[in-house]
Amino acid sequence: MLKYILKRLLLLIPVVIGITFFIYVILSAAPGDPAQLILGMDATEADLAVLRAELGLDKPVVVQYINYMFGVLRGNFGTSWLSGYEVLPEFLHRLPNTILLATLSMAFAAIIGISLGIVSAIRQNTFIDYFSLALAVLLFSLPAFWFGLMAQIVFCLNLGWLPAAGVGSFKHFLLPSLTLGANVLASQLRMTRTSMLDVVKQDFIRTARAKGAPERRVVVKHVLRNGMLPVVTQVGISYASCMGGSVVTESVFSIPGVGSLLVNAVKSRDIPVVMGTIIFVAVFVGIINLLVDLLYAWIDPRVKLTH
Amino acid sequence: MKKLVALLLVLSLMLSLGGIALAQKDSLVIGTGAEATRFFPANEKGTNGNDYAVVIANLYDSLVRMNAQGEIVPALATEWSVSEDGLCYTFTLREGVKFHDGSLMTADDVVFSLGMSAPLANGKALLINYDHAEKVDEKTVKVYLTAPYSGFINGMASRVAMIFSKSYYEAVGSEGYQAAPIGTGAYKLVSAVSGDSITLEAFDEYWAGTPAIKNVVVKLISDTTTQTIALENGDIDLLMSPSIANCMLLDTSKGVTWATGSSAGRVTMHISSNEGTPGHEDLNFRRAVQSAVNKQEVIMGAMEGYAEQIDIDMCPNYSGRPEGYDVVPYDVEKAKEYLAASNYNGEEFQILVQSGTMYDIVAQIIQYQLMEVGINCTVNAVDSATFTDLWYAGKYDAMIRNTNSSLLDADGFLNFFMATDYAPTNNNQHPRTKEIYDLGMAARKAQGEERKALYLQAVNIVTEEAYEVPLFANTNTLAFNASLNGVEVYPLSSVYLYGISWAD
Repeated sequence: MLKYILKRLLLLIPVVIGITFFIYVILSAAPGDPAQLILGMDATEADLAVLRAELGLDKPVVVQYINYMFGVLRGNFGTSWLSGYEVLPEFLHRLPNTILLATLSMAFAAIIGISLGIVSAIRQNTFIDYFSLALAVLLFSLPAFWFGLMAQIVFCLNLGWLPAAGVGSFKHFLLPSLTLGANVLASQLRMTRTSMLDVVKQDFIRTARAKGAPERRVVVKHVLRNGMLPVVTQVGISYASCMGGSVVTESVFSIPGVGSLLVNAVKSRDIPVVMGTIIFVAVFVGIINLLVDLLYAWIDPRVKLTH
Repeated sequence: MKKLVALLLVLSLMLSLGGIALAQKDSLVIGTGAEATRFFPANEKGTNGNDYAVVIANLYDSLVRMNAQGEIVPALATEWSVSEDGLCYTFTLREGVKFHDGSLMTADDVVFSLGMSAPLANGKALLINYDHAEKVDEKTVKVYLTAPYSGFINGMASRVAMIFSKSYYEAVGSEGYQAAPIGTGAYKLVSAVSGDSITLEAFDEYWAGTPAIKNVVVKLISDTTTQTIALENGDIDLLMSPSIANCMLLDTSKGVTWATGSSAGRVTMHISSNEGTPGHEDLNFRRAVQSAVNKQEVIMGAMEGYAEQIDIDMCPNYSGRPEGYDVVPYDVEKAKEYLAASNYNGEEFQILVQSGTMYDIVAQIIQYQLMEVGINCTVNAVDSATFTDLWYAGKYDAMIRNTNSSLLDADGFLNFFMATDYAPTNNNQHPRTKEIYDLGMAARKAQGEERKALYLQAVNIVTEEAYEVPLFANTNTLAFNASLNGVEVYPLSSVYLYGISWAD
């Protein structure tokens, strides 16, 4: 078990190197000269050359990348080219907002989505099943920015219950997590229902019923336990995508999180910030995937964590 | 029992409402889409308009200040004079001005601040021809120029001429100043949380008197629709620079209002005459474009009519702006004649513009207008970094952008004809660039009517050669709670908090 975890963690290293190298090359090739963006149009050619040398932009891309990664190994994630702040503290300062947002959205999506999915599977082809189908289709097709905007108009402007933007209290996070979780809720709901219905048709369920087990026990002990496997995977993937995909929600609700940090950095070609953020998100997603796999093995003893 | 509960409820409601009415409101929440990150004016990487708009403009003072009408008024200097040769400015300092740490501002601070800011990239652009500053006595400072520059006093009101404390700087350095800045301004910095908010607090010993608003929070809200909702909702009291389109959508029945004012920027279409573009060595083509653009339609479509048409690349509020210049009217028939006489054979004519901006809309309107006369016009809308890259590399047939002159001076028009000193226009291959540049440089040294006459010659060449189609002087906006008094729209999109208070 420990060996497996260690192996998975070690595997993260080539993944991070691959991702960061790819991003670094793309960013370097993208139009937009960081020196010019920092100094503005008033800068003379001489000022620009000095700054380029200072930032190391006059060296080949591969050399720049290697220098950067050596810095990272020494724990130096660099400073923002544009604002001058240090990348690591800035990232850590914003991380809690993103984690809170992603966790709340996932909790909301998982609790409602999975319960509705279970109920619609048990009560297949009844009103609740059709209702949840309609709900899932609706939530799945709504773009996050539009859903967020409508929620703002209803809850902030018309009803005046919730603040429209910013962070500070639990109230601030209600609408954003609803918005971010809507899509996930829909997929959780459908996934749970399909997976449960699959299991219900299996021979061992028929056997359980045939030997006279009460319906409640059949559902909880047999159907749920077996039907939950793909759902758990889905939860893990969705959580990771909530972490990386909160960009739109963070910008609509002005949440100072990792997503908005990344987007602004990309816009201004602020390579140290982009790289630092990508490294952390990649490691974070890798760890979540590992946790999901461990959970998987815990739920289903048939899964062996050897390969 | 039920009656008692109801009575208690009504009573508590009345008390809480009464409480709200009784408390004198003295805080202000400002919403902005542009984050300020640099708080030290002599930061070696410079500061920009976002840093200035709320934070630097209110933490610091310069010797003179530009008011909302664009006039230069006294600030840390009570009066000033210019020597006859235009090479020396003498400032008389206000007495008893204190920094936020309680120390007195002195002539040494002034000399030190200017000396440190002027050589930086920003300083070179805004304090043009600055040579050195000299302390005459405790309340007099002389600023010397290398050559006369008529827009210099406007530079002395800009963000690079802010006065900071010499002794504090010597104690904490540039990074320490950035972390805990002190100035002589009406507000002190309390905290700055990047990506979220900046908190300011009134400076009770401000030289002009104690500010009415005690606490100010500047909230970063990047989404423009969220900004509007937050204002109507009461989450914020004042919104920086909303678009005209968003102002028009504001629901004024919710106690919000908005105001416009002239800006330091103008929106102009620049036509390239570089090799490989339709405008290359083809005056008739460039003139066809010039005559085909209906500026009033552009102003209605992109600005809801809230902008002033311009026919030269200078705003009406710029100092040194000439009068009696040539104007090419909108004339479709004339445009078609020019096009017929040109070498144009239906090649693509691509307008470069920054995507998602109001200028994108301007470009689309012009695209339609040009297609009407038979020009195969397309719009290349790209993100801001790519835009800057393509612009500086000269890779466009035409380009539309807003150009600010932080000095509010006619000199700003020269940016596109800086044949020698600056990078951006190294790729501007207009055959008459050098001629325009020389006139502009001569105008820098001239004063009064002589200066205007030189600018007149320069802008007439630009019009004659159809290098530019100036469209409109941009408009600045502020949207705010209707109970706020003293909100003024400044040309440089800043807000002067000292003048603002809540109505009783």
